[in-house]
Amino acid sequence: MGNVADIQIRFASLEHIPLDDERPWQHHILSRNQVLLNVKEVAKFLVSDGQEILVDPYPQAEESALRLYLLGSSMGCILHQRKLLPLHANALQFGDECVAFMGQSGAGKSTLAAAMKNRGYKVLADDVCAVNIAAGSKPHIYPGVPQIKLWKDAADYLAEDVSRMRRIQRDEEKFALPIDDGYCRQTCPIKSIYILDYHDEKELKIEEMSALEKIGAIKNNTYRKGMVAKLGNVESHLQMSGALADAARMRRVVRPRNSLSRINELMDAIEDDLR
Amino acid sequence: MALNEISLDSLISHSQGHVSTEIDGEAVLLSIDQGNYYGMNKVLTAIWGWIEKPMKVSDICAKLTSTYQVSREMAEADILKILAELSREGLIEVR
Repeated sequence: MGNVADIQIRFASLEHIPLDDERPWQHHILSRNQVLLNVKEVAKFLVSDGQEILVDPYPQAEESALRLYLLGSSMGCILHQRKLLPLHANALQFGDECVAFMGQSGAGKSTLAAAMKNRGYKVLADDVCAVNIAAGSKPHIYPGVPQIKLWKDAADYLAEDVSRMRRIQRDEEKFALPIDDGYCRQTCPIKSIYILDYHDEKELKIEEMSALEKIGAIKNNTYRKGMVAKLGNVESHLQMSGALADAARMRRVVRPRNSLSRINELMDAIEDDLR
Repeated sequence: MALNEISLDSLISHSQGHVSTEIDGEAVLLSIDQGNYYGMNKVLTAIWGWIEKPMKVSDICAKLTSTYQVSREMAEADILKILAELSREGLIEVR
C-alpha cells in the first residue's frame, strides 16, 4: 500500500528486561509508555507508545495462544496508550452508523452479533471495540478483527459448522467464526449502545439508564480496565466516558435467562428501538 | 462534619482528588483514591458547578432560592442536609 503501518509487530528477544515479579499473568508498567505483558508459556509482549509490539515467545508456545494475546491484551494496551476507549463489546453497522453491544460474559453478545450478521448487518468489531472520541465529532468505532468468537452451543444453535472454524484456545470450546463479506471496513459513528443483561422474568425489556449507570457500564465494560489507572488515564477515561454517554443513546436490554431460542424476538426489539 | 457543624457562614468548596464529567446535565464524580462514583441530579449538579470557587452557604441558599423559586427556609433546610452528606462522602471541604 505504500503507507507506514500504524502499528509494528515484530519478534524480538526481551530477555534483557528484568522482571521482579514472576507471577504467570502480569502487566509490568515499565514507564508511562511501555508495558510488558508476561504470559507464562506463551510469550512476553512489550507494548510501546501505542505503536509497537515486540513479541518474545516461550518455547513451544502455540500459535493460537500467541494470536489470542496479541489481538486481545496487547492490542488493548495499544488502544489505552493511544488514548482511545477500548470497550469489551461488539459493534455492527446500522445504516451509516453503528450499534454496539456490551454485557458480562454469558449475556449473549457474540451470539447476538452472529445472529445479526446472519440477518445482513455487517460486523465492525467483536470482543474489542476501539472507540475514538474526538472533540467536535460523534464518537465512532474503528473496524476491528474480522471474526466473531463463538462458544460451541451458540455456533450449533446458529447452524455454523465448528469443524471448519479455528479453535481459539486449545482446551476451550470456543471458536473463531470468520467474517468475509459480512465485514464492515469503514469507521462508523455510534448511534446506540445496548447493555445486555438477563433476569428471571419472562419478558424482554429495554430500559433507560441514569447518568451514573451509564458511566458505570462504560467503566465495567472497558477492555482491560485495570490499565486505565496503571497508565495514569483515570481523568481522561472519565471524560471520554462522559462524552460517549452524552453522544450515544445508551439503553439496558434485559432478557429472560437461557433465551437463546428467542433471539429473533431480541433482534426485532432492537430494530424497533433503533427506528 | 456533622449536620450541626455547617453554618450559614461556612465556606464550601470542592475537595481534592476528584474528577467529574457531565451527561445531559447530570454530573458524575469519581473519587480517585477510593474509586467510588457518585451521580448527581440536576439541582446538585448546578450547586456543584457554583462551588467551583469557594462559596458561603448563605450565598448558595440565595442562589437556590432565586434559581428554583423555593422559599428561603426550604432552601436552607435542604442545603444543610445536602452539604452534610457531601461532606461525609469527602466530596467537599467546609471552612
